[in-house]
Amino acid sequence: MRRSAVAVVLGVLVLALAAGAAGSEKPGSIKLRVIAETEEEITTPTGETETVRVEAATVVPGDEVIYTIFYTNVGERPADNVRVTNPIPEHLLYVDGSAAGDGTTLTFSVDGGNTYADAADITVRDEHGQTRTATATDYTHIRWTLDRTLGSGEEGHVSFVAQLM
Amino acid sequence: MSRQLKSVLYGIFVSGLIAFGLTGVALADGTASGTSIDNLATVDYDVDGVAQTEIESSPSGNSTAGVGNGTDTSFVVDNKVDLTVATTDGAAVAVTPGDQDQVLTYTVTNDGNTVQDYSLTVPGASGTWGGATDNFDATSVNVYVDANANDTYDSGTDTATYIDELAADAEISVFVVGDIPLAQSDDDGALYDLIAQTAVGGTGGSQGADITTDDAGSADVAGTVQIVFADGAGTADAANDGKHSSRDGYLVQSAAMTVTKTSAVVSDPINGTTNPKAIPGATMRYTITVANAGNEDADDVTVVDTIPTNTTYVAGTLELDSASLTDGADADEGDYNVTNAGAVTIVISAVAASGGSSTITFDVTVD
Repeated sequence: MRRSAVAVVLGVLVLALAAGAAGSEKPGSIKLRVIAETEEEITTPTGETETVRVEAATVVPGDEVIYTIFYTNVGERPADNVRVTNPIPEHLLYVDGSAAGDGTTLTFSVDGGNTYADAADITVRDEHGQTRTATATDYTHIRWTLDRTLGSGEEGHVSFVAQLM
Repeated sequence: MSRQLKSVLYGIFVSGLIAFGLTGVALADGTASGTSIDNLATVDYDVDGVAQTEIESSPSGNSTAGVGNGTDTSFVVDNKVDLTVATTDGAAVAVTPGDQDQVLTYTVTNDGNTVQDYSLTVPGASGTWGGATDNFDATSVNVYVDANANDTYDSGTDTATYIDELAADAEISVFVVGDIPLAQSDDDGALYDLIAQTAVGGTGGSQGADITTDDAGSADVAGTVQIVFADGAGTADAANDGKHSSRDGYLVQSAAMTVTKTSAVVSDPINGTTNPKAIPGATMRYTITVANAGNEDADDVTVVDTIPTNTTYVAGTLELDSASLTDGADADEGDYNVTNAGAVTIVISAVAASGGSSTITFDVTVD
């Protein structure tokens, strides 16, 4: 199971490299990397308890997963209007207030990514047809919009926390 | 997270989905183990005022634009082992000495996110529970799993001795069945802990191996389903050990009889009834009291008293609770010299529990 998954990943990478080398696809100028982590308590050699982040591996219902999205402008031209978008993965619930990102403006979608708005401005209809302000569990997508131009070589990261149902 | 809070969140989540017209989402008690959780972020941007092709993320970083060039950041959901064993008997089960196949009823609930088997053991317990204090052991104690989901023990039908393939969030009844020795007395108690031990599921009809350790001490492996113990402590097990347990027991309910016999001189030929003495020719009155201090009525209590040597029964003096009985063989409760030669015999239909009593009197003369 795991071996075949790795094989698929390698295959995708090889294809991507081949495509880039052949020049058949325009290389992007922003590199995007996502990692999933969980917090764990460890005991240091001096006997103190410390909370550390580890790659999300042992995750059971109720656990919280921290996603961090790293962006780097690997192109030669500055990038404007940079928007990083992350759908809330299936089986996860967004943890209210957890989305973070220095120098970004945060918006949310409750309609599968069609429209985005400030959290306070999003409404949904409840089962009785009444309109109410959307809550964390209504969100389908999170979007971080950079407040600045991302110059060549510049990088940053945004993050959010979601709980496994 | 408390279950209550979780269900509230589910409720919100479900109503949120309904709000968008999505239905048919079944939410069990937690995402099933082995489920891959996949995440793919995207970035959009402009260069020199021109919108560029969207770029997808990958775990190691991707800069190739276009749909399909990214790779999900994924992990699989691990096996949260959590279970609850609970007795459904509110107090110790009342039994009578000599009773066979007496049933203690429990439920076992899979609170985890994986189909599991469970092995079952019923060690004896000590102390006091549900009104019973443990001081004896039932015999032929066995544990059986409810086969037909009726939550009632059916001898010959409920024969499985382990729980096979209990789905996440599912509950099943388990019965502890034992015999009560005839020698036991009123208020005797026998306590038991039912312990369910999580075992490997996934293969119907065969008992999986017990899962006695979790992977807390092992390295995390993102693509592998690992075991995480999340169970609470039971009456006979610790928290986070893959087990849970609950206590129940038998309380013997029986009659507890005492018999008291006293005698008094009623009259003698010299003094009459004034300060009579037990001299030849004197009349003696015997009083026999049977009392029941137990928790159950005593039925068909038979009292036999042979008339002492050197005394003679006074015909027609037999009384039960101040009501006269004939000496002959007939429908009333007593006789003299019929059922048992030279003795009075009384059969009391019932002596009530918790302090009921009956009193028998008869007279003899001293020879």
